[in-house]
Amino acid sequence: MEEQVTIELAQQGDTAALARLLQEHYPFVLKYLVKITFDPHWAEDLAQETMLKCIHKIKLYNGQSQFSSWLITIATRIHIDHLRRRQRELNWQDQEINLRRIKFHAAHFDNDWPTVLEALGSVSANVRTAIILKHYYGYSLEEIATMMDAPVGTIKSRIHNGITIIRKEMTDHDE
Amino acid sequence: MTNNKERWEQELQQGLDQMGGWVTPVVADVHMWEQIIVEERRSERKKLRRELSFFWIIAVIVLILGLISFTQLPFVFVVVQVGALLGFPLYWAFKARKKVTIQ
Repeated sequence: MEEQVTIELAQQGDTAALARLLQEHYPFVLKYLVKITFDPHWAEDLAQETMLKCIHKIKLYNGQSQFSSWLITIATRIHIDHLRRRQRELNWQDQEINLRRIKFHAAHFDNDWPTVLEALGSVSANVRTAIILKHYYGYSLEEIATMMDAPVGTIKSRIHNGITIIRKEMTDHDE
Repeated sequence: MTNNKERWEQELQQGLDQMGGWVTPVVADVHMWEQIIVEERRSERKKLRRELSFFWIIAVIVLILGLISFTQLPFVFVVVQVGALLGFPLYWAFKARKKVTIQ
């Protein structure tokens, strides 16, 4: 309820209200982006771009979804745009570097690198995003399709194929 | 099968939860965010003003060129231009219609 009031004030041009909103949601957006990119540095750039886009588009938020979901939609599309601009998905060498970086973070916190994340790191960014949105954040296929600007069927097959790969990798690892 | 699904889902949740913990976001204070917002709005207004000025300059140039050519050129030349402009589309339209009736 309180957030709703802040959003309305922000939409009316209240700078302080918008600043509060951005400050509150920045960690959430950053953590989401780290999960889908596996790259903390890139995630930071994308999170900042997401916040800037939010400043420009705040009046377009219609309240049909939660504010955090709206931010996730913006972040997801910015991420997809970045991937497209590179005209290719991160090649395996880039992915390896990213994986090493995030593994370093894990080691820094004295955590083992979970097998499931190893498997998740082996699928493409679009597949990973769809799986995370469905199985971690709990969005429906339709919501994910809107967020990723893709047909529901495509999202469904991405998730299905991704899960098959992850399961196989996990089974191989267990054996 | 179901257990298997539950297991990987659970591991995914735990793994991603852990991953969230590895990142410690440096969150700027509200005052800093306010400055960013003000700066962004200012640059947006500047960009809009620049684009609008560019649009008006081009529009005025095109209008002036149109007026000059219309007032300075001889009447016959204008008639020929208008005739050519209308004539070619009409000619092609009739030609196409003829083809359809033959078939």
